[in-house]
Amino acid sequence: MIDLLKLQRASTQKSRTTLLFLSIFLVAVSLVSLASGNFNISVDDLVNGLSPLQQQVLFELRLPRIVTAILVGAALAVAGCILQVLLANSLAEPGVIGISSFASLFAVLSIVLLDTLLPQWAGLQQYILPLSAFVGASLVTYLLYQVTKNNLPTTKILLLGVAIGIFSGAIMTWLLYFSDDSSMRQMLYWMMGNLAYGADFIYIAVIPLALSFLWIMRRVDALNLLQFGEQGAFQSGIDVPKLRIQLILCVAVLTGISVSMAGVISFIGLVIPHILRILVTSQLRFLVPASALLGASFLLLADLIARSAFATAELPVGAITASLGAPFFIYLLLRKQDI
Amino acid sequence: MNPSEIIKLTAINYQQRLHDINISVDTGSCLFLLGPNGSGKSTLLSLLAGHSQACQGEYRLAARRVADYPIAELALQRAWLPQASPPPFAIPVYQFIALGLHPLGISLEDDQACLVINQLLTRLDIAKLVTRNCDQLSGGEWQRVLIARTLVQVSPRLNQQSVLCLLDEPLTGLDLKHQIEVLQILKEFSQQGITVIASIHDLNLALNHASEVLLLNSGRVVGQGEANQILTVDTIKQVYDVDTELLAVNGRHFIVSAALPASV
Repeated sequence: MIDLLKLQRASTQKSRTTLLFLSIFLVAVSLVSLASGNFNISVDDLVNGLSPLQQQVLFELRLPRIVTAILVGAALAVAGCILQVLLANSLAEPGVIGISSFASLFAVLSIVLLDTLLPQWAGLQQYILPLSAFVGASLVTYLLYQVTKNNLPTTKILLLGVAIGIFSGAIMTWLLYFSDDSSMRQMLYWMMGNLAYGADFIYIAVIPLALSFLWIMRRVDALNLLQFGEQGAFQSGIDVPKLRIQLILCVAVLTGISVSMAGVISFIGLVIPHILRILVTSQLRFLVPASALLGASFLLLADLIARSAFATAELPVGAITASLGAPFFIYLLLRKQDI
Repeated sequence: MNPSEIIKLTAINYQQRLHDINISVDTGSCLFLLGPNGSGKSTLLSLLAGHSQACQGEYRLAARRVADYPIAELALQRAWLPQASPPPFAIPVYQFIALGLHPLGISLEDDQACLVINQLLTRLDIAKLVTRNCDQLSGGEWQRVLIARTLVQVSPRLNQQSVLCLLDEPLTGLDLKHQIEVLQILKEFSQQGITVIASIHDLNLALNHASEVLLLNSGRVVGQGEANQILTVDTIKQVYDVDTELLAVNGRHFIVSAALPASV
């Protein structure tokens, strides 16, 4: 007789150890991130007390930026995880299949509308912007879900995503044409992804992100059944249509809010869950929190590269994640036989 | 009403696929669904599993309308094996089979559950695969893993409420030995009071293993009853459009094609 319980416990132990390791890693990366930058702050300064300027750099620039990176990285990785469950496709990712770009289109639309038609509402921008990004993300997620219900092959899902991305890009070019310099700069940052401006949204973002995450963890067993087949989940007692609607809202909240904080940052939702699925397990009880931790660390590291690679200028972090993620994605596409 | 009746379908119509289905199945029956491709076997099974939103007519399971069951409660009463599709994500085989425990609210911490799963692993000949990921299996191996998950859910030793086990072409991709073993397990389940309904294509297996068969054609019931009364040369000609002969060997009956292959 095979001791299945022992196997199960060993597997759970491995998951827990990995989660612990990932947590430590995230703390370490955060500290390194906090200490690095063009403006030098040494450990000695931390111990001996900081000058007012150093305090300002640390608490008003770096700390908010690090919190933004952690929230956005975690949200995007988790969004990728559950989008893969929703579409039953391991290559699904909010950036690749157009959800992020459509969300950013809606965000930009709200900026332009506020600028031109409703300047008296400009003070509400920090609420209106995430809300419209969320609406944009929900629309695309719902559309994708509707078309994948009929077992659409991966190629079509990806092509649909590409088309949505191109369409969003085209509309944004139109908007650029009609906008002034300052909003143009803001729009460019939506398209490329940047963590420097997310600080305004942290307080607004934390609650919906946390609620989505808690909801996912509460329903994680049902989601786990769903990822191994819709019919299997139904016959195991899961109300699949209801769960799917909730999942769509969750993906939209996670993606919409990430986009409103940092613009379009692609491939985190693809790369992070994929690596964890291969190295550890696809059980969502592990995969969701592990993706959140590793996604946060990954974006912090990417941002560290973005702001310290060149002394003179800062790269958009979206360029870093895409340069790493796109080759990985191409590798997966070429390796998979069934596409 | 027949007191041992567990399933009652009355005047079921579903899109263009099922027409005027009236069926009654007794508790502990081992019923095989037969019929040509596209005759409605899979549709009928998914309907029996509780996918009943868009169909007309009434389906009662254990005297209660299926539409009135909460989904979670239904999962305690019946298990359904849909036609196999490859998994998009992979976990080890034993964890996949343990998914069948979820509706029962137990896990591998339960000794009895481990015992039941172990027996199924041995009988289905998948014990050596337990730690392998389920995307690294052959078609026949994956099919047996799926069967194991389904059977765990309605195993009478773990689930006192279970009454029905539905399987859509469980024998597809299995070699002869495994086919016979699966049929034997299904027979044991039915003897323990679990009604088994499975679709298969092999008429001879139906003749020799079913307590009852149901023959479908173009979404209509052609006949229900003992296999050797339903599967006559005339009915087979009418439903499958194939000429056959019935052979009797040592008191057992076999259906063979009458037409010899052209090359012989």
